[in-house]
Amino acid sequence: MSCKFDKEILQRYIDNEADPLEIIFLREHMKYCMDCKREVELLTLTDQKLYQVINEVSLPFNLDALTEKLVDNCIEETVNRSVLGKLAHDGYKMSKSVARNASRFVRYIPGSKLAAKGINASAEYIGNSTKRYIKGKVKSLIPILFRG
Amino acid sequence: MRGDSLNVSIETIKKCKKNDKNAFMELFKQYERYLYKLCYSYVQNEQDALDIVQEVYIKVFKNIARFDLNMPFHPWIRRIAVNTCINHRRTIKYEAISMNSSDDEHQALEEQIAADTDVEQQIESIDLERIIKMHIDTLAPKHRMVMILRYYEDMSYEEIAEMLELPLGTVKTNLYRARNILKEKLADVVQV
Repeated sequence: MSCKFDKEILQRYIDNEADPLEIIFLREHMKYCMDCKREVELLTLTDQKLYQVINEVSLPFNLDALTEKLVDNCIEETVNRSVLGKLAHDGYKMSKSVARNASRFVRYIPGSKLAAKGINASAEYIGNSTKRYIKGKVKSLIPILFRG
Repeated sequence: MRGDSLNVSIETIKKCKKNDKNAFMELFKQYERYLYKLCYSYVQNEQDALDIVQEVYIKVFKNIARFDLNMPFHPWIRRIAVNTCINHRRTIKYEAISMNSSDDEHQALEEQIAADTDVEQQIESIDLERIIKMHIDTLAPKHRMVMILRYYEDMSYEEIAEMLELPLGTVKTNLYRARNILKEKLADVVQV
């Protein structure tokens, strides 16, 4: 194409974003420049076809059913997560109390206050690592349990 | 803008925030067509489109609690959909169709079919659509999304630039360049 007319104006023209002066300029130009006239025609066609291809999409027959299934699955997973979460929490509480109770006898040993303090600290430590362990297990279980 | 026709009531959204199943059902039923068409335009195949729609639903479900009720809903869900599309990795591999082979097909058709204007116009139309779909397919994710946002969502260049975090000049240049390339390809097919 030999015409030196600014091609960007053509694009803006197609987008209805050319300013009034540019529109006048272009329309005058197209009266005697067949190349640019053709360019604008082809760009208009391209624009129309793009609009058509992008907007004329046929819907799959199962879209409704898919939506329903997904909502069901999502709600179910939320419920299950909260149940599992409660189980994990109860499990942790139980193991913490077991660790503490296992050390109660120490109180009855004379001169054992210091020892009892140490054992309580251990129970706390055991409790925390149990908590971390359970959390980790639950996290890894969830995808397996709710697969498919 | 397309979003104007999708009016989700604030009551529905409030209920969704409380995990109300019926509210979610209502929300997604209103949005399923819009979301599917957006995703399909982007990936150009049904399976991937459905996969992305599912991902979008799940993300909406997980994040609705954080949605600010004072803000409009449509841009929020649109952003989720756009980002999900852009980040989606194609799972189905289909053979790349070279432009050369389509040219051969076009010529073969011309030889086989008698000169009937209606049929020619039909073939021409199918060819044009195929050319466009193939070209959209070659575009990089963000560039492809520029096209979709412009033609499906009727967004302005400024809005597209803001959403995709691209410079305004880049958005325009991308679209103009894609249109020019398509124009050249269509010129080969269109009868003078």
